[in-house]
Amino acid sequence: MDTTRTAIEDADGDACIADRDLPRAPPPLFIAEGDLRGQGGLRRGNVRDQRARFGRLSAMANVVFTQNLQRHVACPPTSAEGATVREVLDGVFRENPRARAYVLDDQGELRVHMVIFVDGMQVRDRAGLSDPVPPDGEVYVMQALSGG
Amino acid sequence: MSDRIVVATRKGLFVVERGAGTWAIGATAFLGDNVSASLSDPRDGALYAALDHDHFGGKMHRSEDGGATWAEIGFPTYPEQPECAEGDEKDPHPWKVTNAFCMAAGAADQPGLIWCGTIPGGLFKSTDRGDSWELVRSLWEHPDRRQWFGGGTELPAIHSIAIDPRDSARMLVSVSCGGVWESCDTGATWNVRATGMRADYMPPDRAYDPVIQDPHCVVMCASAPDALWCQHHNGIFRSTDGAQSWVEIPEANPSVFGFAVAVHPHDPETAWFVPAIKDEKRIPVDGKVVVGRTRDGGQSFEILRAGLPQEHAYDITFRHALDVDSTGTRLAFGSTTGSLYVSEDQGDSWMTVSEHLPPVYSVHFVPAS
Repeated sequence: MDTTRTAIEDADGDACIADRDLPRAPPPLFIAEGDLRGQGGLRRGNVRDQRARFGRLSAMANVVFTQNLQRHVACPPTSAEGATVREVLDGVFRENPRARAYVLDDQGELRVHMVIFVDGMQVRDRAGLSDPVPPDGEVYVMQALSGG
Repeated sequence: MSDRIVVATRKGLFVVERGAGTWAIGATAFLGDNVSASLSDPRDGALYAALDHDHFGGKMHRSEDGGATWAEIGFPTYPEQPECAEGDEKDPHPWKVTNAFCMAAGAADQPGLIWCGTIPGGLFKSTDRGDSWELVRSLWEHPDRRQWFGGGTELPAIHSIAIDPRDSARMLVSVSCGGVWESCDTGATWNVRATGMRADYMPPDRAYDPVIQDPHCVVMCASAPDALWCQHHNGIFRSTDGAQSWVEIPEANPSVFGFAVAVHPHDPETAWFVPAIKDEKRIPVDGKVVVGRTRDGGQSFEILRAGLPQEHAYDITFRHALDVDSTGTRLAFGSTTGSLYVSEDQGDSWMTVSEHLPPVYSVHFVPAS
């Protein structure tokens, strides 16, 4: 079952939690359409509203991947514990190991044409991924326009 | 004789098939994605495609049914880079695969063995049909590797891998720009074999330095493996002693510059080239697409143009985009402007399969089963 597609296709209405098949994943969230271009950018309110609605664990960061990654490897919105971007992503990739190489390179650094935002701010430590993530931070893994 | 051609392009992979005397596109895969390399394994019929997703990095897929369906497999990945030294000790090349640039199947007595040449110059080996990969450290850690540099790319590229059909432990690997390397022990040890190659892009006292040569493409004659042809940045070179030495072919019509070369599998004196104006211009001479063919070991060249565009044609053929089938009769080449041409008479005449493909990176005949 393609829960990612379900979440996206239902983005104009209520998230379709009935179709979830990932027991450890959070409820599908309203995810940004495309990347950060134009009016389809981050919608913090929607994410926060969803978290409140479904009673999410407040200590976990919420992680959303660019929609363009979904055709290669399913990366539904998820949550993970961690105080830094590295720790959060390690948690995500433990559950979804195939996604790792799409985001990080051979040396575990952020791929040159990828970009990560934490609560709307671009991550600065692209190699070490040491930027802090608040307990209920929102982590967006997006494509950088440098990659075309 | 092969009736199938695999064409890897900037925007997808195309399987071209022959039927009733004409060639047409059949299966397609990865439309929209950059297919940087492909391989048809003659041992088991598997088809491999390396993808280069600009944002998401390189990936590799394998098809067991001739390209109808694909599954993602492993991708060559460098091990953790040692603590970066500074100054003269600093490695000039990142330990990160940016592109899987070429692939080669091991010999019949090496089941499951696949080689992959990459940018930035790492050679990788798989013993499980691409499910997992391992860096060939013996070449990567050779001290001369640090002298390699990019040619047409920012970083060095391994582009040609030839396995000696007489001895599967012997192989030749060619690098832009890093010369030609020979291993006689399945990659355990390496020696550079580019003596005689000339690089006029270097200061004069290093023009003949083997480890900075830019062979664009190196091919081995299947039935006479000591016969090698090289389309080099500075022209055409030939070896008749298994790469122990190279001799420059000083003249070739209409130009000695180009990227691709194919050698007849049963006649080491016969080779084909797709020439262009040297070297910054890189367009066909006089806007005419032609193929150069020698049948006498490079002493003379015929210009083959029947069926090819001869007016305002600016097709360039990259190093992996020319191939000859296992009989030496059929040839195919693709171009940067999306054309694909096929000959069924050793290049005497050509037919156009398409003029509207994405830019073509590689063309290979699927070995007849």
